[in-house]
Amino acid sequence: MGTLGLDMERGLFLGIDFGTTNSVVSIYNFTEGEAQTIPIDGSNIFPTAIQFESDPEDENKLSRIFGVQAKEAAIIYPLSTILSIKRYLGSDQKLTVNVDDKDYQFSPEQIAGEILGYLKQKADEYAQEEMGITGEFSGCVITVPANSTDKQKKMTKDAAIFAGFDPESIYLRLEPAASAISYAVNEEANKKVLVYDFGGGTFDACVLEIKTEEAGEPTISIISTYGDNDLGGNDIDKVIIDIVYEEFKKITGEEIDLFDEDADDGVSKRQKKVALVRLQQAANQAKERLSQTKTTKVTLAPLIQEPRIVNINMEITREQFLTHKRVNALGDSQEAYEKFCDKSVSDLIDETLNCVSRCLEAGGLAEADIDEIFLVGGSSSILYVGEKITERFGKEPFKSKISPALSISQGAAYYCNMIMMPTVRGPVVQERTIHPLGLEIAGRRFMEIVPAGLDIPKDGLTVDAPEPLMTNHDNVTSMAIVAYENTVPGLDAEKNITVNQEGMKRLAGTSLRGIPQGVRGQEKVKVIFHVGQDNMLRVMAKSLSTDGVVTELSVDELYV
Amino acid sequence: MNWKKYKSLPAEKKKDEAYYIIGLDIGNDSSAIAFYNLAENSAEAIDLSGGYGKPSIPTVMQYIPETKEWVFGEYAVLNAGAGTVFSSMLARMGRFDYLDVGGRSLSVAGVFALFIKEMLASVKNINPKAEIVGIVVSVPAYFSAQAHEELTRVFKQAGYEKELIALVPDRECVLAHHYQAPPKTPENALLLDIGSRELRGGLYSVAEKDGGISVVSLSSVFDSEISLSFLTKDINALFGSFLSDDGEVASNLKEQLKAFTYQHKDILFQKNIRTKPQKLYYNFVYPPVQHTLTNERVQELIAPYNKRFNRFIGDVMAKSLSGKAFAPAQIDTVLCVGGGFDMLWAKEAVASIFPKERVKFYKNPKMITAEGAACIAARELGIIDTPLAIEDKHQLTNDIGLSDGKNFLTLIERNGFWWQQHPSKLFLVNSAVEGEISLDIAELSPTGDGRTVSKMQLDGLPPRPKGVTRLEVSPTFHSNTELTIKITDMGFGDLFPKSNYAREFLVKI
Repeated sequence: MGTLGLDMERGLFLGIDFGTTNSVVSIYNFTEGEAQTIPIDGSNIFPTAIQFESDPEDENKLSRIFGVQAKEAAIIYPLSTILSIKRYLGSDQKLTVNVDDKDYQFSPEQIAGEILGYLKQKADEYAQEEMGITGEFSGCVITVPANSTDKQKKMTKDAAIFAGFDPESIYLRLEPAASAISYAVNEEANKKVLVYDFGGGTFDACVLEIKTEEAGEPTISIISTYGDNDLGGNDIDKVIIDIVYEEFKKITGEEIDLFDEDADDGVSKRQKKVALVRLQQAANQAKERLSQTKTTKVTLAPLIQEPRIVNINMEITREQFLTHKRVNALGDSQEAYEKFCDKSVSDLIDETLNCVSRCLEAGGLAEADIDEIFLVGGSSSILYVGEKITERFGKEPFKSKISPALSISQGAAYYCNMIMMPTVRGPVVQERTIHPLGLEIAGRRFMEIVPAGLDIPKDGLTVDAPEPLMTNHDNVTSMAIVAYENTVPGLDAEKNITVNQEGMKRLAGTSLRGIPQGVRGQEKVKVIFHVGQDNMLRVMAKSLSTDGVVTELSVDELYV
Repeated sequence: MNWKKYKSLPAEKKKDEAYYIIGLDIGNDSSAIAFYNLAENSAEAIDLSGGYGKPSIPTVMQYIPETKEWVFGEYAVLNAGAGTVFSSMLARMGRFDYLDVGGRSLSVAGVFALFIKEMLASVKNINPKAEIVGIVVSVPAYFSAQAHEELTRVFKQAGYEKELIALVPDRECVLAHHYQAPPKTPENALLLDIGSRELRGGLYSVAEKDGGISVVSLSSVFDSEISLSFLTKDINALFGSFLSDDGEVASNLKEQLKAFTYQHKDILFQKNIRTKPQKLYYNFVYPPVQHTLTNERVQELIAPYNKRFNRFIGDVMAKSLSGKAFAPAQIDTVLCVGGGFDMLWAKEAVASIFPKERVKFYKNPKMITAEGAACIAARELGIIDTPLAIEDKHQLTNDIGLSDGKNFLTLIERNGFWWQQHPSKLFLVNSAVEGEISLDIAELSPTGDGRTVSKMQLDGLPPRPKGVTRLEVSPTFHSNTELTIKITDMGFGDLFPKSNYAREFLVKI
């Protein structure tokens, strides 16, 4: 095969939809002029899973197993398998993996990096063998939820660096915008589109505007977004687990607590872990099946063997699936459980529709303004979702030959094309700031620095704070710099917004140290916000002291 | 709108995005659907899994009596055991049978129609306004007239009128997919199709003729013993052997093992196992167990298939009509289609015989026939204007049978190939036999014209009363124009035991 007509100096870029449950990678195929999903281990959908085992040649080393094999291994080796790593990106929690009774610790970005590295390796092989492309993927576009925090974005980027991508060539883009690109390619009319993205771990609602100009390519801009980073298909599975667990409690007379490893109920820690993974997978299968049929069987016979045999053999109807209200914490933290306690699947789906309402409000839109609705993400294939959307908007969700499971990754591949070949024509995504960004100032008030809806140029958007910050007390040497995002519409209009109001999201905080001592108000600090095209924020705070002490800080380095 | 109305539309109106021209590949094990993309002028497969799995779906339906629901495709396979499962629907065509569905007797055509309806509904998933203006369904080349009739009935029951449907042999679909325009110089094309029920091979001479594409079949061969379904059975047995020491799988696990095989068999054919043993996790048993599958074990299982496949390719090239064998160097293009070409070893087998640049492997080999069917549909509707004609002297164009001047009893159905195995049939002589009787061998054309090709004088048959002389008639072809018919006396019960009477006749057609 010949070489492709592209600027090889920039290298090849891979489009990655790194999902909680599944990941998909795509490449822009120049010969066919369209995005194409790369099958990994023979399948378009790659389970985001990793399992560790000791290396057969060196027992002090670990070898890794990825994807389907790792996901299936989780039942026998729950202690050495990690699923849903995306949920940990953004937290500092170390993950412990136990292999042959030895503990190993990993950071979430390391684990995510291992998985991304495998995807890169398999994509490299595919490109070389099947597409005749020489070289490897040096860059990538990874999609992130529209409502991810800067820390989540930063850790995603770190994971990609760990995976071997060139740090200068890692681009983060928003999932809903990516899914809209693959659609906008063929669009010929101006439209406002609602992307309803219900994935394994997160929910995002996003309104995009697609504008087509007669001679040019369509432009996509994000009007508004609202989402929940802790609501996904996994939480729906938990409602099914809850139904099964109620049955389990009935059978065992509540003598066994599967979620308390240390409870003195005669069931080994390992058996409990195995039982939980099996429960999880059975629940997931039951959910998928209930999208097809009105009833399904859950058979786990036995679920527990020692000290007594506990068989689960039950039927779950679609009705039950939608209306059962969760009553068990199922190992969730108190805080996490509070959100889902007494909630049914239909409640959770209603919750996503509330997010949709907030998203519409934020954009100052009504249902009638929306021309098209895209359902994206695995959980949106639950029938009730489509029904509710149709009821709400009076029209059926858009049907596309691009599968909802692949559209984000294929959109990422279109982004790759634009990066690799800056001269090519294709849908243009007008990156804009989504929500107002600002700082906390005296009296817990919010000072808006970057308004919503500003265009972000290629090399980023830089905005100075309207006025410098001043010290509040005499002789202080440090000042807290805390950045917030105002995710709730309507608040802008009010004068006094405080940072503890609902909808204010704390993005990051640090303190500027080494400010020269002086009387209150004498020292001034200049603050500059910089927003990149990936919607990632950097905050520079600079003491403007006259005696020469200048400190400059960037927020994303300070998540310690 | 039917074919004809659509055909008469002006060219620019034909391109409306709501018109769908469909190609269907209905297989015994799995089925695929494609449409002709009018904007891009090419056939495009529809991914029935929504991107989650293989683009084709298993031709399997399941009826759940409790909820009176039908489940189709993969869900029916993975949930086997929950209700009544119906499969191998295509092989049932032509028998006009009935099935027991939850205590009711329903026609096979009616049940199969539900599946077809479900498949065609996927077009509505792309565009709710879709209007189907033509469907080409690929069928095996040897499909009988009765099977044609029943399959057409299936579509009618699914709500698609006869005028909308055309049944086209699968090889024609594949050739139409590859040859959208005639080759610049005449070439020899080898078509290999590894399907679920059989391996099909054909050698064709393709050339330009009067602006169209002319295809002459040089040879065509089937082998039903290296089909994917055989391979799947072997894999199922292999996976089962890891589950128990004596190789016996408990009966309650058999269905689950089948579903497990369905989900995991591809592991054997991918590259990973060459470098690293792959693990199988039997999560459906308790306690769950794992087994490591080595490349050696896999190669051992594949070896006989590989050997037979290589021999098969040789056969296709050797059994040409002219009697002249072809060498690999004489083949200009090798088309590799069918789900079997997802397997690495099959690709390698072909690649070891033919130079790389002459072999055409596809990303989704299972979808090519459906895409080709869509191309034929587009051709029929005047979207593609290069005609394609296939001439095949191997294929019998007339029914061959026994005739008494008034009645015709079919012995060999048309559309079959001379080199196929043609089963013997039994006939009763409807008159008393005293001394000699005479029988005609006749050909019956599709339009109903009969022609006697040979008269057989049977002398020396044991004398018997009317209706108790039972004769077995066995045909054996020597070439596409010559066959031997052997008549054997089979007797009639204990009263008229069979004699040693047998006669052979050489018949030219």
